[in-house]
This record gives sequence, C-alpha cells and structure tokens, in this order.
Amino acid sequence: MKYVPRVQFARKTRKIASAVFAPAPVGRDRALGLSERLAAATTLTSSLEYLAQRRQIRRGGLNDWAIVKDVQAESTPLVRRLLNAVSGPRTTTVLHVARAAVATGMLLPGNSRWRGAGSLFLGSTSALLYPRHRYGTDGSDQVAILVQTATGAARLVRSPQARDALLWYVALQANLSYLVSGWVKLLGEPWRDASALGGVMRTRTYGHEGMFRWTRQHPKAARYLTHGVLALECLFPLAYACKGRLARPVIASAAAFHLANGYFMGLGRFVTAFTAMHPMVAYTSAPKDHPAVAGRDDRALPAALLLLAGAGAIAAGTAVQRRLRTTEGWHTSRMLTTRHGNELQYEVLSHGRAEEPVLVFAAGMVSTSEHFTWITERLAKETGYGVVTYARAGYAGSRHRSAARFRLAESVDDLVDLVRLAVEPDRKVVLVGHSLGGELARRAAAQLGERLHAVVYLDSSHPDELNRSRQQSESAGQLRTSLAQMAWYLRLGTGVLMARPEWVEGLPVAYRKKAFAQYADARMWEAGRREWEAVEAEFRAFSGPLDPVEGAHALVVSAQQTVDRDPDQLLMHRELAEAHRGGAHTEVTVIEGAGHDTVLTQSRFAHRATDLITAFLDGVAEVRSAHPANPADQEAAK
Amino acid sequence: MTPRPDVRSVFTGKGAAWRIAGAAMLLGTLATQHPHPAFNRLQLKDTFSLLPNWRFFAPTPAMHDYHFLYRTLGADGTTSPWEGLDVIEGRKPWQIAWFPTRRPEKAVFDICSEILHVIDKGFAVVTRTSAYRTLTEHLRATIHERGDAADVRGFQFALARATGYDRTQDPEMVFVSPYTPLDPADARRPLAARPATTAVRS
Repeated sequence: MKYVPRVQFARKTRKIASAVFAPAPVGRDRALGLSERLAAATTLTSSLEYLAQRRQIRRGGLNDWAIVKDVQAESTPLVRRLLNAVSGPRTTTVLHVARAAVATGMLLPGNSRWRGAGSLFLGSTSALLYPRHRYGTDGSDQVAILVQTATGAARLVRSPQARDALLWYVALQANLSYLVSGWVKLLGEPWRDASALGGVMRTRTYGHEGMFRWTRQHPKAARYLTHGVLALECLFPLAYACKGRLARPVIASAAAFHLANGYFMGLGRFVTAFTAMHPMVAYTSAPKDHPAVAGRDDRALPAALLLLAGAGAIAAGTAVQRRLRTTEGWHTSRMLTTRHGNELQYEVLSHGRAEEPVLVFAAGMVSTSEHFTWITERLAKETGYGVVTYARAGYAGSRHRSAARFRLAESVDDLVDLVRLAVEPDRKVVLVGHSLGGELARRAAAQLGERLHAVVYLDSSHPDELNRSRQQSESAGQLRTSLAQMAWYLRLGTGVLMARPEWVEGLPVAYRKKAFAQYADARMWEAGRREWEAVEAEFRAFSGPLDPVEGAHALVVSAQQTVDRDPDQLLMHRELAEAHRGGAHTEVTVIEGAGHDTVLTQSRFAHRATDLITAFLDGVAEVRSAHPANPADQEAAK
Repeated sequence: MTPRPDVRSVFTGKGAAWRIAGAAMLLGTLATQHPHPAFNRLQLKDTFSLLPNWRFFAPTPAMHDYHFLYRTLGADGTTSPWEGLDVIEGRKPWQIAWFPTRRPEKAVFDICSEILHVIDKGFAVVTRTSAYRTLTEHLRATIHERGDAADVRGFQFALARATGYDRTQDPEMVFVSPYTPLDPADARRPLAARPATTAVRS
C-alpha cells in the first residue's frame, strides 16, 4: 500500500469537501435552458404515453369525456365550452401529437425567445387537458404546468428583474414542495414510526417487491432511510444556508431521491419534472457576489413573505369575526345558568298554546342548534307547540364553567335545568334529541318525571353502541384524533381555508352563515372533544339493559343510511322504544334515504321528520283524550 | 453586505407585476396544502390545477392496492365467477423511462378514492358520481370486447383492497355494487345494493 503523508491527505480531504460543500452556481440563462428542457422531456413522455393509451379517452375508457365532463357542471359556461373544445377524442389526440412535437423541439439546442412560446404552449395545454384526463393525472403534470408557464414567461419578458421574479417563483415552489411534503408526512403515524416505506413498497401500484423484502429484512436500515428522506424534505431550504455551501449536497440528494422513486416506484416522469425546478434552486441559492449570478434581483422572496404576512392577518381577522358570530347568538337569544355553573344560550322560538307541550331540542355532538331549523321553523309556525332550542355548554354562546371532570351527567343536568328555568312550570315537555342529544334526553327523563310528556329520538345514540357495533368501535379512535386535529387547525387560524360543507348549504338560507361560523370556529370542536372523551368512556363501560323510562311516550326515528350501514343500530333503536314503559305510546320508524345528519339538514328528510313528530304527538293526544287517566288503556289503544 | 430592499421597492419598479403574481401563486399553493380535506376552499376553484398539491403520500401514504372484480349474469340466469379487472402492471426496470399503463393504473386508483370518499353517503350518492359511472361504462365496454355480450344480461362489480407483495394478509372486500344491466337503457335504477363484509382471496 502506498504511503500517503498526513498533510497530503488533509489537503485532499479539504479539496473534496470544498468541491461538495459549495454553491452550485448556475447563470440565469443556463438555469432557464436546463429547466425548460427537463420540463419538455416530462411533457414529451407524458404525451407519448397518453397517445399509447388512446382507448382510455374513448367511450368506455377510464377518461370518457361524455361522463367526466359532468364534474365541471359548477364551472362557468365559458370554462365548460373551452374544455369541451379540447376534450373530444380527436382534438385531444391532435393536441398530444402537437405537444410531443413541440416538446421534442424544445430539447434542441438554442436560446431564442421563441422557446418561451413553446414552453407556454406546453404549460397551457397541460392545464387545459388536466380536467379532461381527470383520472390518472399526477404531481408531475402539475410541476410541468408551473415550470413551463414560469419559464415560458421568463423567456418572453425583457427585463432581468422580471425574469428573476419568475425564476425565484419556481425556486420557491421547489422549496415549498419539499417542505410541505416532509412536514405534512410528520403528521402521519406511518411516517413517524417508519412503517410507511415498507407499506408503500408492498403495493404493486407504487412499490417494488425486492425493495419491500429489503425493508422486511433490514428494518433498522429501512427506518434510517425513511427518516433520512423526511429530513431531506423537511430541511430542503438548507440549500440556502451558509452562503449556498449546502446547495450541491441538498440538490444532489433530492435528485437521487427522485431517481430512486423513478426506479422503485415507477415514477419516471417525476424525475424530470422535479429536477426541472432544481436549476432555479441552484441559481437562487448561489451567493449574490458570485459572478455567475451577478445582478440577480432577490426581491421575490420578501414579496412572497409580505403577502404571506398580509394573508395571515386576514386569516386572523376572519377567525375573530367567526368567533364573535358564534358566541353572540341571535337577537332573541337568552342566557341561563345551570346548577354546574354552566351558562346556556337558548331560544324560545315559540311559546305555543298553554295547553300544549313545549318541545325542547337537544343537538348531537359537534352539531349546532341550527341543525334543527327545518323542523323547528315549521313546528313554531304551523303548530301550537312551544319550541325551545339551546346550545350545550361550550357550543355557540354557551359557556362551560364547571371545573369538575366532564361527564355526560353534567350535560343531562344542564338539560333538566334548562327545562326547569326556561319552560313555564305547568307545561309538559317533549325532549327531541338527535344523535347524542337523544341519549341525553333519555337520561334526563328520570329527573323530569311527570313533566316529561314524550321523548323523540332522531337517529339517536344508544349507550351500548360502541360495544355492539364493530364499525363504530373501530372508528372511535379516528374520531378522537380528528376532533383534536380540527380544534388545533382552527385555533391556528386556518379556518379561512374551509369550504362551506354540504350540510350548511342544505339549511334554510337565514341560518347558514351562523351555522358555518360555528363549524369553522374551534369552540365547537373543543366542546365535541370533551364530550367524546366522556361518551367513549361511559359507553364502553355500559352494560345491561337500558333503564326503564316510566310514563313518557317515545318516537324513535332512524335514518336509513345509519341502519343500512350497521343493522345492529336498528335493534338498538328498537330497544330505546322498548325502554319506555308504564303505558307509554311508542313508535319506531325509518326515514328512507336519510343519513345521520341529512335527516335534519336536508329539507325533504327534515320535513318528513316533522310530519312524523306532529303525527306522533297528535296520536298521543288522541289516545289521551279517549283514555285520559288510564295508562293501560293507552297501551291497549295502540 | 447587500442592502435590504424597502417594502415599497418590493412591490414597485421593474418586474413588480411578476413578483406580485408569483407571490400570489405561492400563497395560493400554500393555501391548498392543508392536511385536512375540509380546508379545501381554494382547491374547489382550481379547475386547471394551477396550484400544485405537494402533499405526496402525506400525511398517510397509500399502503394498499385497489382491485376491481366483476361477474356477469347470463341470459340463462347463471352467474359467472368473479374476474379481476387488473390494470396494475407490477414494477419493471424500464418504467422509469416509459410507463404508459401508469395512467390507467393511477386512473383506477383515483376512481377508487372518489368512490370511497362518498361511500358513507349510500349507494344513491355513489352511483351518481362520475367515478362510478366511468367504471360501469368501462365494464360494459370490457364485456362487449370479450365477445360474449349477447349471452350477458348484466353485471356486478366489487372493489377489493390488497397488500400486494405482502402475502401474509388476505384481500378485503370494500364494497359490492348493485346489479347493473348490460344495456344502458335498462340501467335507470339499480336493483339491489349490499355492503360487503366478507374477505376474499384473489
């Protein structure tokens, strides 16, 4: 073996280190040229692959425009016409042939401004064809769109400042892509415990049999690899640290990562698509005093940060507005304090006739009292019943003040106190509970005694459901996590990004804004989380039959989707009715087509539920007038 | 040291319009990366996918393959055995450069995701989705291509998920479609629907 003096060795090591840990200076034009060629290679492969799979865009294919176009029903007429124009099988084929030709041309040498038109053509046609190829598009298409529109524009603009703004845009998108991909992965358990690599590799769609076996045989190395990838993604902007000295290793690692994905996962187009953004990272991460990037305009980064700060302020303002809208209630809202010190916000929607009972509505978990509006509006306007709704402690403007550990009994007591304080003492009461509200109503029956005329269970919970329904038991953990996450996301002010859910759009127009404000505010989810913790503990500990409910009549309404999905639920709903004894009149019915929430929020199901409630109460009244004093006669009259 | 640009110069001067446009696009992109699907206000408006989704395989990666199976109901009332509609090719070295069947593979994956997204809302909703209708038309075309369509009255399909190269776990049936007539003119209403509860072997 040859002897190498220590000084010489140290010198060599320093030389290697300075070659590795150095900026990757790429000039503006070179970055542009490399980037547009790599993006063109992505498009060339993509279009040729589409052309090889033309049958998928014909009738009976997996992207038959005659069907897929219906997704665009909500788009503007102009957009629909534009999409129709490019989405016929023949036009789509011609466009792909043209794209392949232009992409090939883009791979040729040259530095002309016309190349900008070529890139813009490729980018804009990728975007136009994206909805047309709805099923099967992927991230490489999206990267190609952004790189080609930016590089196309960069070729065509004249000022170096404008060109730098566009190059910075691609570079910042590259950083964002790795950052988002890495940090969002950290939210997933399989990535944290490193089971994700083996999990993905075992699939035939994105995996590789040899690699999967390797993850099984070398779990420790697989864990290092998984966490190494996460580190690379989460720390990608280090390419800009130490005057760009880490740019080479970071960019080289990212490129190697894409090559590995290309080989092991079959994501070949991603290799050229993502590396098309790397020249911009190299250009922007080189120190400004490097001759290759002389005169570079770096104002794009502060521009993005300032806009981000502005957006953060808007998000915070929106969150404050929603909190105020959530807690202020309606102009008719009233407050009362229960024995636990909780302050409840409630509405007397109708006093009704003195001789008729008052219907008190108890909402489900993570629901609003506005969920009942289709039902309560009709009952208040068309019948003589009193109608009262309220928000449980922690929801809307109601305050949860109790310092004791939360148990469902507290909500039951609150409901009983609401009845005692908000309803005239000589009036009978009908409790109408949806979901968890049904269970609270059932438990409140014992305290209300003779004041309770009836209980209406609307797709109610049953205390044994987590023990008897495998499906509900399995989804319990998921619900716990989801409630906690929602509360956090909303506390962080990201509620501004929420779209109005379908159920809100289903409510009467006047109530939508307030219902949505509650949905997009953390309070409802925090209250739901507290309740779910108690529900899970108490329901899992439940055993034995339901306590009998003496004297009060019962209407049990099931939503068809609930009982279809879980036949045990229908049995449990029957048990709710059977628990009502002492000559009680009971009815059990299913609303066809309704879901757990849509039974309230879709007008046709809610109207059906209202009809059932009024018919049930009328039926009870008839029996009572025929046999006023004898409960046994009431039972016989059923 | 390079002097810091003042706020005004960031939004004025040469290239200002491009800086603002780029910043707006970056902000839009960031706004579409929320890990929870309910925070999708902007995605719903992004018809042309100008705002990329950077959450690849995150937060929870796809760790199953989806497979469609179908069986036909013959004119004589007999039911055929389940057959696979397998578009997954398996990994080959050249796919890094040329992989045309990746598109149909991903298409099936997307169709499954769309169906599973609404499966809790019941078959009435599922059958109206473009994913479900695409699949039924695709199966119709597949049966016609087989050449024995004259003897077939209708078909039923199932979605199963499997663990691919991990053969220690059995595939799971996710749902079974209602019976669907082969002739679209008879396909106004499915005759029956039932959720799947049993596991099947592929």
